[in-house]
Amino acid sequence: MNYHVDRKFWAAFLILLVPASAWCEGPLQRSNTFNTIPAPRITVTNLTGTVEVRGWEKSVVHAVYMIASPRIEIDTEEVPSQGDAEKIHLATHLLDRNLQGPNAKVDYTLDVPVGSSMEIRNPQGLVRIDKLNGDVWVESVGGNIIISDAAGEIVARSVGGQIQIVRPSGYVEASSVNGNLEFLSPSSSRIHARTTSGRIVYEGNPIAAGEYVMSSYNGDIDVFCPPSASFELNARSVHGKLIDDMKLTHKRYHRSVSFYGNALLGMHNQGAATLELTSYSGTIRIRPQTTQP
Amino acid sequence: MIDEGVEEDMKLGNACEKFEANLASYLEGDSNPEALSHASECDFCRCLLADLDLIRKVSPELGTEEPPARVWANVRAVLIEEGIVHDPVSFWRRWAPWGSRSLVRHPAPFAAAAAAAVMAVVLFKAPGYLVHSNAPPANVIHSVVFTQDYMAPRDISSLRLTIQQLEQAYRANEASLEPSMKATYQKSLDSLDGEIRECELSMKQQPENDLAREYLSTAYVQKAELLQSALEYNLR
Repeated sequence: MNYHVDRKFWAAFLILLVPASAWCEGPLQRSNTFNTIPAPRITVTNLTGTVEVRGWEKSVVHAVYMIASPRIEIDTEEVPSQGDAEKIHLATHLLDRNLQGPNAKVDYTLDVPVGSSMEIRNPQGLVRIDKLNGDVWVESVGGNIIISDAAGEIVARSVGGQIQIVRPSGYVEASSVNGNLEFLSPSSSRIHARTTSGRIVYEGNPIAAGEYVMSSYNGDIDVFCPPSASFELNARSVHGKLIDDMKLTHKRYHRSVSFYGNALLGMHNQGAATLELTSYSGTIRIRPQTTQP
Repeated sequence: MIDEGVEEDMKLGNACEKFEANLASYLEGDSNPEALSHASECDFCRCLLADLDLIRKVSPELGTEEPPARVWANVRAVLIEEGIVHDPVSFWRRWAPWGSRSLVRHPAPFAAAAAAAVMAVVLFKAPGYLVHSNAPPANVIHSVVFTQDYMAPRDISSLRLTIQQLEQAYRANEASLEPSMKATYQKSLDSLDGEIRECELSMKQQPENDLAREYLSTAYVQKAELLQSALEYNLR
């Protein structure tokens, strides 16, 4: 008899132990599904952790949260509260304000309608956005930002993180103090980028009549263009070098333009696009693109 | 003949108006059993009362940091100009004037005050970044990046003063920042301070150096934004 009691006890103990240990050691997973209009506005406010967003063809937002602590909840708000949502707000809410670092971590994975506009604040952690047609606004302190195949306007800011924008087609504004900025294969006609000590890389074929304004303080600026690229270059630097590896047709500044430091005004092919590059002490290089990305 | 439901709604509406009229005095400490009784019956008023009670309880625990004096001066100037500021009234009557003027029925004064505050904050925050968000035309983009070259020396000295105030507030609060965030902010502040030092030196040596002036004013704006961002995260 005692044997049977012991066996039942241990069986119950083990059954309870498995989920209890998983709960203690691993993050909690929660999810929400919202029916939305085809182009909703979605706001995510997180503290630390990753935020990954993918566009899909459904008018549905599916959100999965990996939550490090049971003392964190996710606040959700749909507007309007009935019917298909036009706006969705998701926010990490610490029930214990003393939670910090990995204990305050929430990883968001969102599948959203491809027409969605996103506004994301994620101070510490990666933000990755893929395939969206709406506008994207992302702010981070130490996290990296990677945005791919976005067709709308992009505004990305990080204090110390890197920003990589791949195949954008709308207006792009990116800034960081210490992070690098990379623009790969853009079809945007306007890009505006600034970093203090990071490096800026532009790799692509500037669009005719497009304007690309990039500025760094002591980071280098590297522009890689195919031989067929048609652009006019206006590069200036107070102390940095200007290196032209594309053999531009150099032009002279009008004599009314006076400046200190180094300057390079040149044209490649018909000069259809405009590149304005400035650096205080970093090197600016224009190079031919060796391989198509 | 009025439908019973409509009649009930009208009664409740009158009671809500009366509740709103008595709310300011209740929040200032007057005993008002009628208001409490109504709040126990009406979901909307109960939530409103709970929120205001929470604000009343939590507000003494908030920091006593003051924004720069000119923010208040600007807000006050606009309020006086609009004829909104009159004789001094108590805190709750000022911010919850439900007795004679409902917030919903008279939103203009609040909108004006909010607009003035926003204008003051935005102007003090970053004059160069006012035009960036709506896919500006090419010439505007150029002016966004290089907008600070239009900044007069007077504006730069004003910005420098603002940065000093922000930096004092940041230093007073930095200990409570999460360590990795604090490290990121510190590294960025060091970079911007280096940029400012170097550009100031260039400006001394070559006062006509436009590019150095542009970098200097951009660095000031960035530093102000950075400090403000750090203070905002610290308050969250």
